[in-house]
Amino acid sequence: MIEVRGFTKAYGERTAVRDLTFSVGTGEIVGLLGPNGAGKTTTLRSLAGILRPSAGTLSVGGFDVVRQPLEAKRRLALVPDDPPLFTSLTVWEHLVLTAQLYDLAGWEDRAGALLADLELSTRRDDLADELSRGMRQKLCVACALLHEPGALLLDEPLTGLDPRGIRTLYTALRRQAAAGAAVVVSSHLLAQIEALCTRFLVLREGRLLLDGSKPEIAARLPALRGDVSLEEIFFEVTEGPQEHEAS
Amino acid sequence: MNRGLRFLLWRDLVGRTRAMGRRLRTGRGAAGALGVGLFLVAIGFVRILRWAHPEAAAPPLVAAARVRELGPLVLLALVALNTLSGRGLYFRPAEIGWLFAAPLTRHELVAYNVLVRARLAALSALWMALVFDVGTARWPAVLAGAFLALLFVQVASQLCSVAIAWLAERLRPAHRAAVLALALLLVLGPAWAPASAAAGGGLRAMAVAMAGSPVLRSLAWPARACLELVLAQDLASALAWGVAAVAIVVALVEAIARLDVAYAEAAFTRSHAVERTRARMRSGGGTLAGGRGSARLRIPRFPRLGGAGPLAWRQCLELARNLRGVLSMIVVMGVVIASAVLAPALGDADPARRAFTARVGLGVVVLMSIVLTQNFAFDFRRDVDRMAALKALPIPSVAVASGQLMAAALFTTLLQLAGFALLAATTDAFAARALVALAVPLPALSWAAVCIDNAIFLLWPYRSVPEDPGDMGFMGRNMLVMALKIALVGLLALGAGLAAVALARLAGGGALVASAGATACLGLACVPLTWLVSWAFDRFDVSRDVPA
Repeated sequence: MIEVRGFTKAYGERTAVRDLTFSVGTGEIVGLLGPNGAGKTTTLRSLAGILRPSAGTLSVGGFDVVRQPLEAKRRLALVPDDPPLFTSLTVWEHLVLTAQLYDLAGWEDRAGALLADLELSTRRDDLADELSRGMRQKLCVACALLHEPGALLLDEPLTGLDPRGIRTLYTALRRQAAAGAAVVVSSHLLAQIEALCTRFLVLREGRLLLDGSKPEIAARLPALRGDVSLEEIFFEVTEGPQEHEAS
Repeated sequence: MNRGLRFLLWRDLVGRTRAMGRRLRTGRGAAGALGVGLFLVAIGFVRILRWAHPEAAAPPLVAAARVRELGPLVLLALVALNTLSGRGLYFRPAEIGWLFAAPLTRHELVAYNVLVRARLAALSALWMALVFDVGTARWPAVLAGAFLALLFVQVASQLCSVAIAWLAERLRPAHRAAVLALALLLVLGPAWAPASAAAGGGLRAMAVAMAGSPVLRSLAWPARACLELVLAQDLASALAWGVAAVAIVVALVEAIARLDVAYAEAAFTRSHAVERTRARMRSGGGTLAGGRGSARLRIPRFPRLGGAGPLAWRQCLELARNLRGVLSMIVVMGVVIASAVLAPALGDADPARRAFTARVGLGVVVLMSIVLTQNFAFDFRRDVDRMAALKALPIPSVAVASGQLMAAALFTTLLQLAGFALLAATTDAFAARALVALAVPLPALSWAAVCIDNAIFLLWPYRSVPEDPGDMGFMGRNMLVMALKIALVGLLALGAGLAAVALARLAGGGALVASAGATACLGLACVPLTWLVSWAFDRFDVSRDVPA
């Protein structure tokens, strides 16, 4: 569903992402990990068609993000970090906006169900600036799921969510993946993301260091033994010498 | 256009109208509306007077000839300012989050952006048409012309930003800078000689000479249609110029949509930069203090003074470390005053006119109490996003208010004293004794002005940052605040002056006794004013009153 081949993004003289290659299939939930400045957000924004790649190709559902942006964008949804909402629109009106932007028909029942799933039904007529950070996050997720995207990109979606909110979000994402979506989640909350993702991509300074499931990655790190946590893997990979190139 | 974009435009308008309605239902909102209403009634009264007695009326605020002469240059300057500030290609964070990843074409995004700008331009044009009286121009023509002129500024600056992004995609930064410098040279070079030849006539003469240069005239040609619409005297010419102006705006929009550039990325990058600057300006509380502070000046700590000392120290420290922005504002004001008032007078052989100009200069320095405090806000306005932290301090609110006000009052006074010293050094129009007598009440006057500014801000909170350089709503609000401040400070100064005269007559003293009386009177007024600010600070509800 998501194909990234030789993706490089430079801002002037600085290269944020260098020759990144990976793919995410249907039903997969992939964690995008890395310290600040590793290139996670740049990758997600480029996949969403906001930033133009300096080199390489990115495609969603077989459509090139640069050459066929509308087709690619119809198949993806991006939940940005610190979701910005329109302060003069209500919760329900955000869903109406999404439905109209994506030209959906018969979406009302699904929107109602999403609000119920994400525990927002009682806030349906509240203005966006009356919502807490966690609720804003959940509203963004509800809007992202409304058009049943084939590729779901989430940038730090767990920030601001309470434990129940995290559990609710997990359930929604797993359901979406089970329905055939490719999900990419970027997060610094390693303990949380470990339980959600089936595969991890570890970036450092714009390069892909490791790609695989937790046991696969751990097996490639001889310094770690036994049942290690994702946090231990993260520190070993991102703070150790740069010798773990993705295979 | 995509249904979602149409929905968003409509709901945003409805939402903003509803929010305004909600504000009007509060006491403060109603008082604000009353103030605006009175302002409009006053303008309407002047208009009716002019219409009924054209022979007795004062000349219009803006002469028609000036619109033709300088209007295009002003619009070009606004385009340049808008482009340089990055606002030419600005989308709100929510728009970036929701629209850039959605399946929308570039045409749709550009059209949406222009329509959002058109809404703001319509409001600003309404203000302009109400406030500025342009010669014999018809009101509807002024409204339509101002609207299209502001829209032209927005669209032209967006095209310039997109063109710069196009260059950035193709040239290295050094080459790009060279190309832009060359373009600037080609535009301003031919205008330099006539402008410098006209320097003796002041700023206006220089601007007129610049506007007459062939390159600037050609560049400003598309703006001329909007200005001719403003001045149209009959329906036929209004229609003709209106159609021409609309066609020019549409052509510019089409050029933006067709230029081969990564539009979303360019808009995202510029909007992000604007948001960062806005964040600094919002916390800096000033239009020109939004630059990134670089100086790391140190200031010795103040005594605690019941908690006011540390707050005043922090404001002074921030002021010192943002001195570049503040000083640039003062330099701009200084250049304008020097070239418009002082430069023509210095060459004047008539001593009476030289003395008059010196008195004007003195008045300007005294008025800095009102004007300067409006523009740099190292007080509560700077801390609009930190009000919760201020409220949580274990310090009495009077001490918080005093600490917050001290830096602005102190800095204004120091600048005024510097102005007095400059006047004493450059003119012989004043006796040293008279200058000292006038300088003594200045700290109290500045403190009172800062108190009034902050009381108005705390009671009717607002952001001291415009949406963009052509945001006339912001300017209108500033004018209201300024009018209120002038009225209140004027009343205080009148009271202090009367007290000073009375004291001087009773005690039989001279200027210094009168000065002491005025200072005592103003100082006494500062006590309830400071209390008013502390009361307004107590009433400030962070959950409700922090402006968006």
